[in-house]
Amino acid sequence: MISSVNCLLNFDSGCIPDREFLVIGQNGANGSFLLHHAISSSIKEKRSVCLLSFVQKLHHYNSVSQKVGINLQASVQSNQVVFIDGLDELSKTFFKAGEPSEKVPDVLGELKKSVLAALPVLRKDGNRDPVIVIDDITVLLSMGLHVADVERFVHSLLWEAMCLGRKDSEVTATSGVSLVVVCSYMEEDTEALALWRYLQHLSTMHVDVVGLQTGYCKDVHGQVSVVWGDMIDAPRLCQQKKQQFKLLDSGVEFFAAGMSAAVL
Amino acid sequence: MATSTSFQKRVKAKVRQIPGTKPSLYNNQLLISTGIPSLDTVLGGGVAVGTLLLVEEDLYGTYTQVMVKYFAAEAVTSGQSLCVVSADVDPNKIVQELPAPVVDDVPTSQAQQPQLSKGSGDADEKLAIAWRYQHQPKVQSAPVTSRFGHYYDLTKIMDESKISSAQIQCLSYKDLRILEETKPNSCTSTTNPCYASLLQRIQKQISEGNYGTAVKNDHRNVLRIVVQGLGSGMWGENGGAHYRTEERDASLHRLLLALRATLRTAFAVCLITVPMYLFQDPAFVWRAERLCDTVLRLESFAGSDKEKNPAFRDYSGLLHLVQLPCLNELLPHMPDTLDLAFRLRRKKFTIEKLHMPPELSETVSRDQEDPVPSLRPTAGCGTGSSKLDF
Repeated sequence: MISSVNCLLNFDSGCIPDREFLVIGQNGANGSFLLHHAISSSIKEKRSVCLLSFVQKLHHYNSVSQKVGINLQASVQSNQVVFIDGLDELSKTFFKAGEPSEKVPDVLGELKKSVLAALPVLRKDGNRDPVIVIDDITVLLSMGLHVADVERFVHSLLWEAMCLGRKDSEVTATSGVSLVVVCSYMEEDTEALALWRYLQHLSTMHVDVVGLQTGYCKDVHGQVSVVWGDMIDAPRLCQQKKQQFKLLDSGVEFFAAGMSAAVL
Repeated sequence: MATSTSFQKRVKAKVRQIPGTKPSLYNNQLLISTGIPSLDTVLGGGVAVGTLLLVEEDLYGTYTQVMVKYFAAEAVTSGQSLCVVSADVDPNKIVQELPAPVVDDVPTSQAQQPQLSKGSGDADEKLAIAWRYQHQPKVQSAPVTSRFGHYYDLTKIMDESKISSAQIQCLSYKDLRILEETKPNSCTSTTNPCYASLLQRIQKQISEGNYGTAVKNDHRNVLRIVVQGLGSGMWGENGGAHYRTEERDASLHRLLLALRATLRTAFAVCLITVPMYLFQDPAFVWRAERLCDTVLRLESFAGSDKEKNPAFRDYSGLLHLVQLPCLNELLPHMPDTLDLAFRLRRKKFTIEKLHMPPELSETVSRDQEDPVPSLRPTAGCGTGSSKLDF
């Protein structure tokens, strides 16, 4: 699976390059294979990972990565991966200790703090620069947070993480933190759509995973379009790639639109 | 950060199997039955323990009520604990009207016992032929103690003795209001107090009944939670807007997320039915769906034009699989077709395929031979013995 997705995303180094901000949009299709790829390939290439999930527990990611031959649990123990249970953090906000107040507590500030605190730990053990992975940022909108706050959260996290990287890594000037964000959206949800557009604008490359217009199909699970933009500190040729995919038990198969083995 | 979830890989030999469960064929998950075997098949074997199942109600909620009863009855039949919550109707009434299981096809353990001993006696005798097999280990078919999924008869009501012996807790509108008035929890002012008390009750029950995955428990059991009609008028839901202030109210979504987080670390399954047709905003519905694991939508034909459609004559309505769970795996269960319909007959409720999908998949071996060879045009001219030879 790792090589086929690397080929799609033009990752020559085997995993996500330094200082890349990848946004994965999901609309009516399951784009989680890209997320799992980002995690597994980074571990394989000795990059450290900070995984912030709002939808699943660690066990889910561990099970999937085992199918690709990566032991996520062991990486967590060896401090190569830090898992932040956003699901638990968000559910805790339902009941607040102390007297009732008007405001929802500052969840985003807390989350950002814990991500930034995890980064120096990850960098210690001789691993390469961290990749921050956020699974489904749209959940934050569902929690009643304003779209502008969520946008600010991602933007500030990106810059603060990168600045943190620059201070520490004076020896290796090429190092830098990468960010992978999953964003589900749908046409009728204007807020989610606005968030997706903003992240697209902010990102260095974005992948849009959409369902087929013709509806459900057992053999074609959706369509991916990858768009490359300028890098954080250098211009890049704007490119575009469009393919259809089929998920397999422990991998994914890409083919040109309409060229599925099922219809040929 | 809780590292333990309910999705434990079954590495150690289980001392005692949890009644009414089975491991999934696709991933290493513990499944329970919905009480409707045809629905279990559609969902890939059953509902995974530790997940949230959302059913979007049909208009008037008639068929959803039937599904709820099946789900609750399965808990009683397989000896699991049950918690029924409803603000619209009396949950005790739901429990009293559970359908009775069809017991005829299940051989009782007493009837099975002599047969087994007789069979083993035969095997002990010296084999006259095929003596090579004499020292082979004998196939001991383990007596089935707990079956997965039962059939129910809707015309009969379950025995009262059976219901009273089961662990059942009912939460009605009154119970939820009592907690609301005392307000032991300090939720924010925009949080719906009914939801807060519901979540608190469920969390309390999971911790008191030792259903958590972190707790060591020799007599492990599964807790089934049924919340009927969540988000109806009685709950004070207003489709995402706060009913008093101008502010937005994301309480329902926050409740669903908190429930998901709670269930993930517990041996519990929650079935929630929500009258989604009450909400105008498609984004509100979509977000709620995204926060649940399995989402089904029932669309009944009652009062719609589809009732008159001859194609749907045999069915009561359509079943839409809005979302199937993707847990511990890359590839979620992919059914052959999503064109499903449900049918309520006098005695039972079933899910059926409306029609077969076109045979286009790579997995299906297609017969290349044309069944009517005489109509098949030949490649060359005058090679075949066809009537259309020229």
